[in-house]
Amino acid sequence: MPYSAEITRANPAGILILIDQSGSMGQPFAGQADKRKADGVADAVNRLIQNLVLKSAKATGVRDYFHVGVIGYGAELAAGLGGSIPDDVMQPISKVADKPLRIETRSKLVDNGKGELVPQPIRFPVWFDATAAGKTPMAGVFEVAEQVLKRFIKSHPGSFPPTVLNLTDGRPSDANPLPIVERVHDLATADGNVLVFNLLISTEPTPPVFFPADESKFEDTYQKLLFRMSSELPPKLADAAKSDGYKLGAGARGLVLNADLTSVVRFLDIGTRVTTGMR
Amino acid sequence: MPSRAFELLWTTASVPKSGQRADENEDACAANPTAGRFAVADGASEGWRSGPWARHLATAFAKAPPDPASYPAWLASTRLEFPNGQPEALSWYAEEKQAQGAFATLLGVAFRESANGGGAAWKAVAVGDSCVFQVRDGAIVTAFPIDSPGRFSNQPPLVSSTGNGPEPDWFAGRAEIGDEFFLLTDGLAEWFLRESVGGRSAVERLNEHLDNPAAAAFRAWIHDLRQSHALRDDDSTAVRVRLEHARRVETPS
Repeated sequence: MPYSAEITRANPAGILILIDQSGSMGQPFAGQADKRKADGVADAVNRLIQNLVLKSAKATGVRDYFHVGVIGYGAELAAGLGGSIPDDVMQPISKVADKPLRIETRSKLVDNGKGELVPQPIRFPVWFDATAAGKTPMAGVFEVAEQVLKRFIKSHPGSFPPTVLNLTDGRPSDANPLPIVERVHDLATADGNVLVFNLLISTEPTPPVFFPADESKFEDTYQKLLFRMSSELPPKLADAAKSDGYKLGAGARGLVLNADLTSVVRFLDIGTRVTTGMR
Repeated sequence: MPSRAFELLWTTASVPKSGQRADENEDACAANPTAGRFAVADGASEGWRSGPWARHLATAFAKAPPDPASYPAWLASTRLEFPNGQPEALSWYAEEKQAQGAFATLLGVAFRESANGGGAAWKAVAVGDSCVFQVRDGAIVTAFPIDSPGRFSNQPPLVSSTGNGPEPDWFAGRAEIGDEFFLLTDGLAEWFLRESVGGRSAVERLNEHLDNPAAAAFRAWIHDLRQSHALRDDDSTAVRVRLEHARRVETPS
């Protein structure tokens, strides 16, 4: 049965995050004037990496259950966790753990035991800084992703198939990415085909659409394109989405439209829920 | 200790997941055969010091098992007795992970003389998906707390070393001379339930490999099961307890 490989150090899970860094990402989220899209996405990605490190950290060391890569696309295409593209985009999580750019102190609200929420300082490691400049070379970034994933699959042919999470707020400025994305869909480990999930940040405060199963209701051809670029959620992730309360039709895709900041966090969370099968 | 009509013969075997050393095995077992107590615990992969916590929990049960009324106090003192990790300067993740604590399943079984004579009364406590199977004449007569192979998930309830965890499940039953009890961590328990339906009995196969005196033989068998995808690649632990007639010791009057 595909998409059932255990996640072990011998068969780590690959997670590749593609982040739109075009100029428009410097604008705030629709209906949330105090948060730039680029900052919200960077926070969510840093938090995701932090969670992956915490899942893998043992008293005896950080176990390489995951290999993670980030590629930003905007004025340039750049590996977000250091290194160069495409050779060392994917980094073992133990290496990532010890090399944040810096550790910030932020505050989080916690219950003080009397039912009151009080701010408490927390350490917030930052690997990836927000950038917003230039256009949206989405076809280009998927071409790089293809190279990166081929390399990962060659080294880990038995792993759970790598997951690509693409977060954007606009349309590709270079070329139609669909033919390249279809080649990416065709890449596979022994456990199944590469998964490509997409999220489109809203330009207007309209309710988000999570994991649609049917493109016929979309009037916008770009939304249809993103639908076709998105893989069906495998059972493990569909179950994760359902247990979070999303109603999924048969064949639901890993796609979120009209995303706000909360949807970005939930997309990254559900899209990486392959991580619950660690052994 | 009053003499019992039965004797408990036990054996155990454990194999870490592929590519890991024996000291990375986060399953644990503990036994106190004189007092009739046996436990297995399965440390969660995501926890900080889950292996030591699993050993600590299993040992605490073998030393002094709780009952439903005393469980909260038993867990509180078991937590207090769990030694803290290294106090030196920690990395950002070590600090946060240590605060989150360690997690493990617990399955404990305690036997005592039955007031009705002959056999034994037994009770079990379970948090999570480590299981006990009572087998009589080669057939499963009790499966606790999970009785179907479809009911294993990747997120079982776990006992935490820091916070309040889920309520345990409890079971009490009777056992006869000749009964066998298998305490198995989740991967083996799932295999055991699945393979017990038709075909060559899982009991027979498990016994054959537990009875093989060569330690490598059990490991090789587990490896083969993993290779054929019959068993998932996880730490795998089995404890078998057999009720037998006590050997009479003549004491001068």
